[in-house]
Amino acid sequence: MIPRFEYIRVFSLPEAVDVLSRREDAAPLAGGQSLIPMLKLRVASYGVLVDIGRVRELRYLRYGDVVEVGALVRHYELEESPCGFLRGVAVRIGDPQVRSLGTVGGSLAHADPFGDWPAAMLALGAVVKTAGPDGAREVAIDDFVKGPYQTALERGELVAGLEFRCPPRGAYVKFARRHNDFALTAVAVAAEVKEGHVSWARVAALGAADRPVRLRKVEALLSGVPLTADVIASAAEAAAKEAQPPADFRASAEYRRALLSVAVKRALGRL
Amino acid sequence: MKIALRVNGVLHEVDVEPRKLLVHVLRELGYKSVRVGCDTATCGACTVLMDGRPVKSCNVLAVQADGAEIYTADYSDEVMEKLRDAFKRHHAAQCGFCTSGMLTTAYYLVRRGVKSEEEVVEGLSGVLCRCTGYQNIVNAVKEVAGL
Ligand SMILES: Cc1cc2nc3c(=O)[nH]c(=O)nc-3n(C[C@H](O)[C@H](O)[C@H](O)COP(=O)(O)OP(=O)(O)OC[C@H]3O[C@@H](n4cnc5c(N)ncnc54)[C@H](O)[C@@H]3O)c2cc1C
Ligand code: FES
Ligand code: FES
Repeated sequence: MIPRFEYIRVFSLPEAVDVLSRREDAAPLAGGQSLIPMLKLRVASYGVLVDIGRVRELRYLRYGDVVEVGALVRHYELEESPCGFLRGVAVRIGDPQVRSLGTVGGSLAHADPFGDWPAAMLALGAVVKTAGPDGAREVAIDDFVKGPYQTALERGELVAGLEFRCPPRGAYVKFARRHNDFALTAVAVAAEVKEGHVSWARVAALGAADRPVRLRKVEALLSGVPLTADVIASAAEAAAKEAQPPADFRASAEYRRALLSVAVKRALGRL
Repeated sequence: MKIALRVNGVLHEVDVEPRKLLVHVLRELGYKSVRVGCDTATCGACTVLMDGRPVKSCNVLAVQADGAEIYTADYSDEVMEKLRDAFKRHHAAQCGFCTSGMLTTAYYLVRRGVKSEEEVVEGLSGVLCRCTGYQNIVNAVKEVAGL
Protein backbone atom coordinates (compact mmCIF):
# COMPACT_ATOMS: atom_id res chain seq x y z
CA MET A 1 0.00 0.00 0.00
CA ILE A 2 1.00 3.58 -0.57
CA PRO A 3 2.14 5.19 2.71
CA ARG A 4 -0.53 7.39 4.32
CA PHE A 5 -1.01 10.97 3.21
CA GLU A 6 -3.56 13.66 3.77
CA TYR A 7 -5.89 14.33 0.85
CA ILE A 8 -7.25 17.79 0.17
CA ARG A 9 -9.59 18.39 -2.72
CA VAL A 10 -9.66 21.94 -3.99
CA PHE A 11 -12.13 23.59 -6.32
CA SER A 12 -10.46 26.84 -7.32
CA LEU A 13 -7.04 28.06 -8.34
CA PRO A 14 -6.56 30.46 -5.39
CA GLU A 15 -7.49 27.65 -3.00
CA ALA A 16 -4.97 25.32 -4.67
CA VAL A 17 -2.18 27.89 -4.53
CA ASP A 18 -3.03 28.71 -0.93
CA VAL A 19 -2.81 25.12 0.32
CA LEU A 20 0.28 24.37 -1.76
CA SER A 21 2.18 27.38 -0.52
CA ARG A 22 1.20 26.89 3.13
CA ARG A 23 2.07 23.20 3.35
CA GLU A 24 5.67 22.40 2.72
CA ASP A 25 5.11 18.69 2.20
CA ALA A 26 2.27 19.16 -0.31
CA ALA A 27 2.14 18.27 -4.00
CA PRO A 28 -0.59 18.76 -6.57
CA LEU A 29 -2.36 15.69 -7.92
CA ALA A 30 -3.66 16.06 -11.48
CA GLY A 31 -4.26 12.84 -13.46
CA GLY A 32 -2.01 10.84 -11.16
CA GLN A 33 -0.57 8.86 -14.05
CA SER A 34 2.99 9.68 -13.03
CA LEU A 35 2.45 10.60 -9.39
CA ILE A 36 0.65 7.42 -8.30
CA PRO A 37 3.34 5.11 -9.76
CA MET A 38 6.00 7.25 -8.02
CA LEU A 39 4.17 7.01 -4.69
CA LYS A 40 3.89 3.24 -5.11
CA LEU A 41 7.60 2.93 -5.84
CA ARG A 42 8.45 5.25 -2.91
CA VAL A 43 10.47 7.46 -5.23
CA ALA A 44 8.21 10.29 -4.09
CA SER A 45 6.30 10.78 -0.88
CA TYR A 46 4.24 13.71 0.34
CA GLY A 47 2.38 14.55 3.51
CA VAL A 48 -0.45 16.13 1.55
CA LEU A 49 -1.82 15.57 -1.91
CA VAL A 50 -3.81 18.49 -3.23
CA ASP A 51 -6.25 17.15 -5.80
CA ILE A 52 -6.54 19.88 -8.44
CA GLY A 53 -8.52 17.61 -10.78
CA ARG A 54 -11.76 19.54 -10.25
CA VAL A 55 -10.42 23.08 -10.59
CA ARG A 56 -12.53 24.66 -13.35
CA GLU A 57 -10.08 27.48 -14.15
CA LEU A 58 -7.51 24.92 -15.30
CA ARG A 59 -9.85 23.12 -17.68
CA TYR A 60 -10.10 25.09 -20.91
CA LEU A 61 -9.14 24.48 -24.51
CA ARG A 62 -9.43 27.28 -27.05
CA TYR A 63 -8.43 27.34 -30.69
CA GLY A 64 -7.97 30.88 -31.97
CA ASP A 65 -4.95 32.57 -33.56
CA VAL A 66 -3.33 31.29 -30.42
CA VAL A 67 -4.08 27.85 -29.02
CA GLU A 68 -4.75 27.94 -25.29
CA VAL A 69 -4.48 24.67 -23.44
CA GLY A 70 -5.45 24.56 -19.76
CA ALA A 71 -3.24 22.50 -17.46
CA LEU A 72 -6.01 19.95 -16.87
CA VAL A 73 -6.61 19.18 -20.53
CA ARG A 74 -6.20 15.44 -20.77
CA HIS A 75 -4.07 13.81 -23.44
CA TYR A 76 -7.11 12.21 -25.12
CA GLU A 77 -8.78 15.59 -25.62
CA LEU A 78 -6.05 16.44 -28.11
CA GLU A 79 -6.31 13.18 -30.07
CA GLU A 80 -8.88 14.80 -32.35
CA SER A 81 -7.59 18.34 -32.16
CA PRO A 82 -8.04 20.60 -35.20
CA CYS A 83 -4.31 21.27 -34.86
CA GLY A 84 -2.70 18.33 -36.65
CA PHE A 85 0.60 18.62 -34.82
CA LEU A 86 -1.14 18.12 -31.45
CA ARG A 87 -3.01 15.06 -32.74
CA GLY A 88 0.25 13.51 -33.85
CA VAL A 89 1.73 13.88 -30.36
CA ALA A 90 -1.34 12.91 -28.32
CA VAL A 91 -1.93 9.56 -30.04
CA ARG A 92 1.63 8.48 -29.30
CA ILE A 93 1.37 8.93 -25.52
CA GLY A 94 1.04 5.70 -23.56
CA ASP A 95 -2.24 3.92 -24.23
CA PRO A 96 -5.91 4.98 -24.16
CA GLN A 97 -6.12 4.33 -20.41
CA VAL A 98 -3.22 6.66 -19.63
CA ARG A 99 -4.55 9.27 -22.05
CA SER A 100 -7.96 9.21 -20.30
CA LEU A 101 -6.45 10.71 -17.16
CA GLY A 102 -2.98 12.12 -17.84
CA THR A 103 -2.90 15.89 -18.28
CA VAL A 104 -0.77 18.23 -20.37
CA GLY A 105 -0.01 20.41 -17.33
CA GLY A 106 1.02 17.38 -15.26
CA SER A 107 3.27 16.22 -18.06
CA LEU A 108 5.02 19.61 -18.24
CA ALA A 109 5.36 19.96 -14.46
CA HIS A 110 6.66 16.41 -14.11
CA ALA A 111 9.29 17.07 -16.83
CA ASP A 112 10.07 13.41 -17.37
CA PRO A 113 13.07 13.48 -19.73
CA PHE A 114 11.15 11.00 -21.90
CA GLY A 115 7.78 12.75 -21.66
CA ASP A 116 6.27 13.72 -25.02
CA TRP A 117 4.66 17.09 -24.26
CA PRO A 118 7.79 18.91 -23.04
CA ALA A 119 9.60 18.17 -26.33
CA ALA A 120 6.50 18.98 -28.39
CA MET A 121 6.06 22.28 -26.56
CA LEU A 122 9.71 23.14 -27.19
CA ALA A 123 9.14 22.75 -30.91
CA LEU A 124 6.02 24.90 -30.64
CA GLY A 125 7.83 27.62 -28.71
CA ALA A 126 5.03 27.56 -26.17
CA VAL A 127 4.60 29.95 -23.29
CA VAL A 128 3.95 28.26 -19.95
CA LYS A 129 1.50 30.18 -17.79
CA THR A 130 1.95 29.64 -14.09
CA ALA A 131 -0.02 30.63 -11.00
CA GLY A 132 1.57 30.93 -7.61
CA PRO A 133 1.61 32.76 -4.29
CA ASP A 134 3.25 35.75 -5.99
CA GLY A 135 0.75 35.86 -8.82
CA ALA A 136 0.83 34.72 -12.42
CA ARG A 137 3.94 34.39 -14.58
CA GLU A 138 4.64 33.57 -18.20
CA VAL A 139 7.72 31.46 -18.79
CA ALA A 140 9.09 30.67 -22.24
CA ILE A 141 9.28 26.91 -22.71
CA ASP A 142 13.02 27.20 -23.47
CA ASP A 143 13.48 28.44 -19.88
CA PHE A 144 10.94 26.12 -18.28
CA VAL A 145 12.53 22.68 -18.35
CA LYS A 146 15.70 22.95 -16.27
CA GLY A 147 16.77 19.32 -16.25
CA PRO A 148 15.43 15.82 -15.75
CA TYR A 149 12.30 16.23 -13.59
CA GLN A 150 13.28 19.85 -12.95
CA THR A 151 11.37 22.93 -13.97
CA ALA A 152 11.29 26.67 -13.35
CA LEU A 153 8.27 26.23 -11.06
CA GLU A 154 8.74 27.72 -7.62
CA ARG A 155 7.30 26.43 -4.39
CA GLY A 156 3.53 26.59 -4.35
CA GLU A 157 3.45 27.36 -8.06
CA LEU A 158 1.30 25.51 -10.55
CA VAL A 159 1.29 25.16 -14.31
CA ALA A 160 -1.96 26.87 -15.23
CA GLY A 161 -1.81 26.41 -18.99
CA LEU A 162 0.11 26.74 -22.23
CA GLU A 163 -0.13 29.05 -25.20
CA PHE A 164 1.29 28.68 -28.69
CA ARG A 165 0.41 28.96 -32.34
CA CYS A 166 -0.52 25.84 -34.22
CA PRO A 167 2.36 25.57 -36.72
CA PRO A 168 1.54 25.71 -40.45
CA ARG A 169 3.44 22.44 -40.73
CA GLY A 170 4.47 20.01 -38.06
CA ALA A 171 5.42 16.43 -37.41
CA TYR A 172 6.10 14.21 -34.45
CA VAL A 173 8.07 11.00 -34.85
CA LYS A 174 8.56 8.77 -31.84
CA PHE A 175 10.38 5.48 -31.48
CA ALA A 176 9.55 3.24 -28.52
CA ARG A 177 10.23 -0.40 -27.69
CA ARG A 178 6.55 -1.14 -27.33
CA HIS A 179 3.56 0.74 -28.61
CA ASN A 180 2.57 2.18 -25.22
CA ASP A 181 6.03 2.79 -23.83
CA PHE A 182 7.99 5.95 -23.25
CA ALA A 183 10.16 7.03 -26.15
CA LEU A 184 13.65 5.82 -26.89
CA THR A 185 13.89 8.99 -28.89
CA ALA A 186 11.43 11.34 -30.54
CA VAL A 187 11.65 14.36 -32.79
CA ALA A 188 9.17 17.23 -32.95
CA VAL A 189 9.26 19.71 -35.82
CA ALA A 190 7.22 22.87 -36.25
CA ALA A 191 7.86 24.84 -39.40
CA GLU A 192 6.64 27.15 -42.08
CA VAL A 193 7.42 26.46 -45.71
CA LYS A 194 6.85 29.25 -48.24
CA GLU A 195 7.30 28.79 -51.98
CA GLY A 196 9.18 25.58 -51.37
CA HIS A 197 11.60 27.18 -48.91
CA VAL A 198 11.65 26.70 -45.15
CA SER A 199 11.10 30.14 -43.65
CA TRP A 200 11.56 28.91 -40.10
CA ALA A 201 11.78 25.61 -38.30
CA ARG A 202 11.92 24.69 -34.63
CA VAL A 203 13.20 21.19 -34.06
CA ALA A 204 13.17 19.54 -30.64
CA ALA A 205 14.13 16.06 -29.56
CA LEU A 206 13.94 13.83 -26.56
CA GLY A 207 16.42 11.06 -25.95
CA ALA A 208 19.05 13.35 -27.49
CA ALA A 209 20.29 14.64 -24.10
CA ASP A 210 19.38 14.27 -20.42
CA ARG A 211 16.35 16.49 -21.08
CA PRO A 212 14.33 17.60 -24.10
CA VAL A 213 16.45 19.91 -26.24
CA ARG A 214 16.24 21.95 -29.39
CA LEU A 215 18.45 20.78 -32.21
CA ARG A 216 19.81 24.21 -33.06
CA LYS A 217 22.25 23.08 -35.75
CA VAL A 218 19.44 21.31 -37.55
CA GLU A 219 17.26 24.40 -37.30
CA ALA A 220 20.03 26.59 -38.70
CA LEU A 221 20.67 24.19 -41.53
CA LEU A 222 17.01 24.22 -42.59
CA SER A 223 16.46 27.94 -42.48
CA GLY A 224 15.79 29.48 -45.91
CA VAL A 225 16.45 26.40 -47.99
CA PRO A 226 14.17 24.05 -49.91
CA LEU A 227 13.47 20.69 -48.27
CA THR A 228 15.36 18.53 -50.72
CA ALA A 229 16.54 15.00 -50.05
CA ASP A 230 20.08 16.33 -49.67
CA VAL A 231 19.03 18.90 -47.07
CA ILE A 232 17.09 16.28 -45.14
CA ALA A 233 20.05 13.89 -45.22
CA SER A 234 22.44 16.50 -43.89
CA ALA A 235 19.93 17.52 -41.21
CA ALA A 236 19.73 13.89 -40.07
CA GLU A 237 23.51 13.73 -39.96
CA ALA A 238 23.78 17.02 -38.05
CA ALA A 239 21.25 15.78 -35.46
CA ALA A 240 23.30 12.67 -34.75
CA LYS A 241 26.46 14.78 -34.40
CA GLU A 242 24.83 17.38 -32.17
CA ALA A 243 23.19 14.87 -29.81
CA GLN A 244 24.56 13.53 -26.54
CA PRO A 245 22.05 10.75 -25.96
CA PRO A 246 21.76 9.07 -22.59
CA ALA A 247 22.25 5.32 -22.14
CA ASP A 248 19.88 3.40 -19.89
CA PHE A 249 18.02 0.09 -19.60
CA ARG A 250 15.98 0.94 -22.71
CA ALA A 251 18.80 1.69 -25.14
CA SER A 252 22.48 2.49 -25.56
CA ALA A 253 23.62 5.96 -26.52
CA GLU A 254 24.74 4.73 -29.97
CA TYR A 255 21.37 3.17 -30.69
CA ARG A 256 19.58 6.37 -29.68
CA ARG A 257 21.91 8.40 -31.88
CA ALA A 258 21.11 6.20 -34.87
CA LEU A 259 17.37 6.37 -34.17
CA LEU A 260 17.51 10.13 -33.77
CA SER A 261 18.91 10.46 -37.25
CA VAL A 262 16.08 8.36 -38.68
CA ALA A 263 13.48 10.29 -36.66
CA VAL A 264 14.76 13.62 -38.05
CA LYS A 265 14.67 12.23 -41.58
CA ARG A 266 11.12 10.95 -41.21
CA ALA A 267 9.82 14.05 -39.45
CA LEU A 268 11.20 16.35 -42.15
CA GLY A 269 9.87 14.02 -44.82
CA ARG A 270 6.37 14.44 -43.42
CA LEU A 271 6.33 18.24 -43.41
CA MET B 1 -13.30 9.99 3.38
CA LYS B 2 -16.84 9.25 2.17
CA ILE B 3 -17.15 8.73 -1.55
CA ALA B 4 -19.95 7.71 -3.90
CA LEU B 5 -19.46 5.39 -6.86
CA ARG B 6 -22.08 4.16 -9.26
CA VAL B 7 -20.89 0.74 -10.39
CA ASN B 8 -22.78 -0.94 -13.24
CA GLY B 9 -25.75 1.21 -12.29
CA VAL B 10 -25.67 0.44 -8.56
CA LEU B 11 -24.88 3.29 -6.18
CA HIS B 12 -22.33 2.58 -3.44
CA GLU B 13 -21.36 4.96 -0.68
CA VAL B 14 -18.14 3.92 0.97
CA ASP B 15 -15.69 5.29 3.47
CA VAL B 16 -12.17 4.99 2.08
CA GLU B 17 -8.67 5.95 3.08
CA PRO B 18 -7.24 8.42 0.54
CA ARG B 19 -4.34 6.09 -0.24
CA LYS B 20 -6.68 3.32 -1.34
CA LEU B 21 -6.69 2.49 -5.03
CA LEU B 22 -9.92 2.26 -6.99
CA VAL B 23 -9.17 -1.36 -7.95
CA HIS B 24 -9.14 -2.46 -4.32
CA VAL B 25 -12.34 -0.64 -3.45
CA LEU B 26 -14.11 -2.24 -6.41
CA ARG B 27 -12.89 -5.73 -5.49
CA GLU B 28 -13.95 -5.26 -1.88
CA LEU B 29 -17.38 -4.20 -3.08
CA GLY B 30 -17.55 -7.60 -4.77
CA TYR B 31 -16.59 -6.68 -8.32
CA LYS B 32 -14.02 -9.47 -8.58
CA SER B 33 -13.86 -9.32 -12.36
CA VAL B 34 -11.62 -6.28 -11.85
CA ARG B 35 -8.21 -7.90 -11.64
CA VAL B 36 -4.87 -6.88 -10.22
CA GLY B 37 -2.31 -8.15 -12.68
CA CYS B 38 0.72 -5.95 -12.07
CA ASP B 39 -0.26 -3.06 -9.80
CA THR B 40 2.10 -0.88 -11.86
CA ALA B 41 -0.23 0.52 -14.55
CA THR B 42 1.34 -1.77 -17.12
CA CYS B 43 -0.91 -4.77 -17.82
CA GLY B 44 -4.39 -3.27 -18.07
CA ALA B 45 -6.15 -6.24 -16.37
CA CYS B 46 -7.70 -3.74 -13.94
CA THR B 47 -9.23 -1.58 -16.70
CA VAL B 48 -12.71 -0.24 -15.96
CA LEU B 49 -14.68 2.52 -17.61
CA MET B 50 -14.84 5.70 -15.57
CA ASP B 51 -17.38 8.16 -16.93
CA GLY B 52 -17.15 6.42 -20.28
CA ARG B 53 -13.36 6.33 -20.63
CA PRO B 54 -11.08 3.36 -19.94
CA VAL B 55 -8.76 3.79 -16.96
CA LYS B 56 -6.39 1.47 -15.15
CA SER B 57 -8.10 1.26 -11.78
CA CYS B 58 -4.79 0.37 -10.07
CA ASN B 59 -3.54 3.80 -11.09
CA VAL B 60 -6.44 5.87 -9.76
CA LEU B 61 -7.09 6.75 -6.13
CA ALA B 62 -10.63 5.84 -5.13
CA VAL B 63 -11.08 9.42 -3.88
CA GLN B 64 -10.31 10.70 -7.39
CA ALA B 65 -13.21 8.63 -8.69
CA ASP B 66 -15.69 10.11 -6.22
CA GLY B 67 -18.99 10.69 -8.02
CA ALA B 68 -17.98 8.67 -11.07
CA GLU B 69 -20.00 6.21 -13.11
CA ILE B 70 -18.00 2.96 -13.32
CA TYR B 71 -18.54 0.04 -15.68
CA THR B 72 -16.75 -3.27 -15.09
CA ALA B 73 -16.74 -6.37 -17.29
CA ASP B 74 -19.89 -7.48 -15.44
CA TYR B 75 -21.83 -4.59 -16.93
CA SER B 76 -24.64 -5.84 -19.10
CA ASP B 77 -26.20 -4.33 -22.15
CA GLU B 78 -26.51 -5.30 -25.78
CA VAL B 79 -22.97 -4.34 -26.76
CA MET B 80 -21.37 -6.07 -23.78
CA GLU B 81 -23.44 -9.22 -24.39
CA LYS B 82 -22.37 -9.27 -28.02
CA LEU B 83 -18.74 -8.85 -27.01
CA ARG B 84 -18.90 -11.72 -24.50
CA ASP B 85 -20.51 -13.93 -27.11
CA ALA B 86 -17.95 -12.97 -29.77
CA PHE B 87 -15.07 -13.56 -27.33
CA LYS B 88 -16.42 -17.10 -26.75
CA ARG B 89 -16.87 -17.93 -30.40
CA HIS B 90 -13.49 -16.51 -31.44
CA HIS B 91 -11.65 -18.27 -28.59
CA ALA B 92 -10.51 -14.86 -27.40
CA ALA B 93 -9.83 -16.10 -23.87
CA GLN B 94 -7.18 -18.64 -22.99
CA CYS B 95 -6.30 -18.42 -19.28
CA GLY B 96 -8.78 -15.55 -19.07
CA PHE B 97 -6.77 -13.26 -16.84
CA CYS B 98 -6.69 -10.33 -19.24
CA THR B 99 -10.28 -10.87 -20.38
CA SER B 100 -11.99 -8.34 -18.10
CA GLY B 101 -9.57 -5.61 -19.18
CA MET B 102 -10.00 -6.63 -22.81
CA LEU B 103 -13.81 -6.59 -22.53
CA THR B 104 -14.07 -3.19 -20.86
CA THR B 105 -11.60 -1.66 -23.30
CA ALA B 106 -13.34 -3.32 -26.24
CA TYR B 107 -16.69 -1.99 -25.00
CA TYR B 108 -15.28 1.53 -25.06
CA LEU B 109 -13.88 1.00 -28.57
CA VAL B 110 -17.16 -0.33 -29.97
CA ARG B 111 -19.20 2.43 -28.34
CA ARG B 112 -16.78 5.01 -29.71
CA GLY B 113 -17.15 3.53 -33.17
CA VAL B 114 -13.70 2.18 -34.08
CA LYS B 115 -13.21 2.35 -37.80
CA SER B 116 -10.35 0.00 -38.62
CA GLU B 117 -8.34 -2.98 -37.44
CA GLU B 118 -5.47 -0.58 -36.79
CA GLU B 119 -7.65 1.41 -34.39
CA VAL B 120 -8.73 -1.77 -32.63
CA VAL B 121 -5.10 -2.82 -32.18
CA GLU B 122 -4.06 0.62 -30.93
CA GLY B 123 -7.11 0.76 -28.69
CA LEU B 124 -6.28 -2.55 -27.03
CA SER B 125 -2.58 -1.77 -26.67
CA GLY B 126 -2.95 -0.93 -22.98
CA VAL B 127 -4.05 -4.45 -22.10
CA LEU B 128 -1.44 -7.19 -22.20
CA CYS B 129 -2.31 -10.83 -22.83
CA ARG B 130 0.34 -13.16 -21.44
CA CYS B 131 -1.24 -15.99 -23.42
CA THR B 132 -0.66 -13.78 -26.47
CA GLY B 133 -3.97 -14.63 -28.11
CA TYR B 134 -4.21 -11.14 -29.54
CA GLN B 135 -5.45 -11.96 -33.02
CA ASN B 136 -8.53 -13.78 -31.73
CA ILE B 137 -9.33 -10.88 -29.41
CA VAL B 138 -8.93 -8.39 -32.25
CA ASN B 139 -11.15 -10.56 -34.47
CA ALA B 140 -13.89 -10.68 -31.81
CA VAL B 141 -13.85 -6.91 -31.36
CA LYS B 142 -13.84 -6.34 -35.11
CA GLU B 143 -16.90 -8.52 -35.52
CA VAL B 144 -18.91 -6.59 -32.92
CA ALA B 145 -17.68 -3.28 -34.32
CA GLY B 146 -18.91 -4.40 -37.75
CA LEU B 147 -15.48 -4.33 -39.37
C1 LIG C 1 1.67 3.04 -18.46
C2 LIG C 1 2.03 4.47 -18.64
C3 LIG C 1 2.58 4.88 -19.86
C4 LIG C 1 2.92 6.20 -20.07
N1 LIG C 1 3.45 6.54 -21.27
C5 LIG C 1 3.77 7.83 -21.51
C6 LIG C 1 4.31 8.22 -22.76
O1 LIG C 1 4.48 7.41 -23.67
N2 LIG C 1 4.63 9.52 -22.93
C7 LIG C 1 4.45 10.46 -21.95
O2 LIG C 1 4.73 11.63 -22.16
N3 LIG C 1 3.92 10.12 -20.75
C8 LIG C 1 3.59 8.83 -20.52
N4 LIG C 1 3.06 8.50 -19.29
C9 LIG C 1 2.91 9.55 -18.26
C10 LIG C 1 1.62 10.33 -18.44
O3 LIG C 1 1.63 11.06 -19.63
C11 LIG C 1 1.29 11.28 -17.29
O4 LIG C 1 -0.05 11.54 -17.42
C12 LIG C 1 1.98 12.61 -17.23
O5 LIG C 1 3.36 12.44 -17.23
C13 LIG C 1 1.64 13.36 -15.95
O6 LIG C 1 0.36 13.92 -15.99
P1 LIG C 1 -0.67 13.70 -14.81
O7 LIG C 1 -1.78 14.63 -15.03
O8 LIG C 1 -1.01 12.28 -14.71
O9 LIG C 1 0.17 14.22 -13.54
P2 LIG C 1 0.31 13.63 -12.07
O10 LIG C 1 0.78 12.24 -12.11
O11 LIG C 1 -0.91 13.93 -11.29
O12 LIG C 1 1.49 14.58 -11.55
C14 LIG C 1 2.81 14.46 -12.02
C15 LIG C 1 3.72 15.47 -11.29
O13 LIG C 1 3.41 16.79 -11.69
C16 LIG C 1 2.88 17.56 -10.60
N5 LIG C 1 1.76 18.32 -11.17
C17 LIG C 1 0.67 17.83 -11.81
N6 LIG C 1 -0.06 18.83 -12.33
C18 LIG C 1 0.57 19.98 -12.02
C19 LIG C 1 0.32 21.36 -12.31
N7 LIG C 1 -0.75 21.76 -13.03
N8 LIG C 1 1.20 22.27 -11.83
C20 LIG C 1 2.30 21.89 -11.11
N9 LIG C 1 2.58 20.62 -10.83
C21 LIG C 1 1.73 19.67 -11.27
C22 LIG C 1 2.53 16.56 -9.52
O14 LIG C 1 2.66 17.09 -8.23
C23 LIG C 1 3.55 15.46 -9.78
O15 LIG C 1 4.77 15.76 -9.19
C24 LIG C 1 2.70 7.17 -19.04
C25 LIG C 1 2.14 6.78 -17.82
C26 LIG C 1 1.80 5.45 -17.62
C27 LIG C 1 1.21 5.05 -16.32
S1 FES D 1 -3.13 -4.17 -12.44
FE1 FES D 1 -3.56 -2.22 -13.20
S2 FES D 1 -2.45 -2.15 -15.03
FE2 FES D 1 -1.86 -4.08 -14.21
S1 FES E 1 -5.97 -15.01 -22.01
FE1 FES E 1 -4.34 -15.39 -20.64
S2 FES E 1 -3.60 -13.39 -20.34
FE2 FES E 1 -4.91 -13.10 -21.97
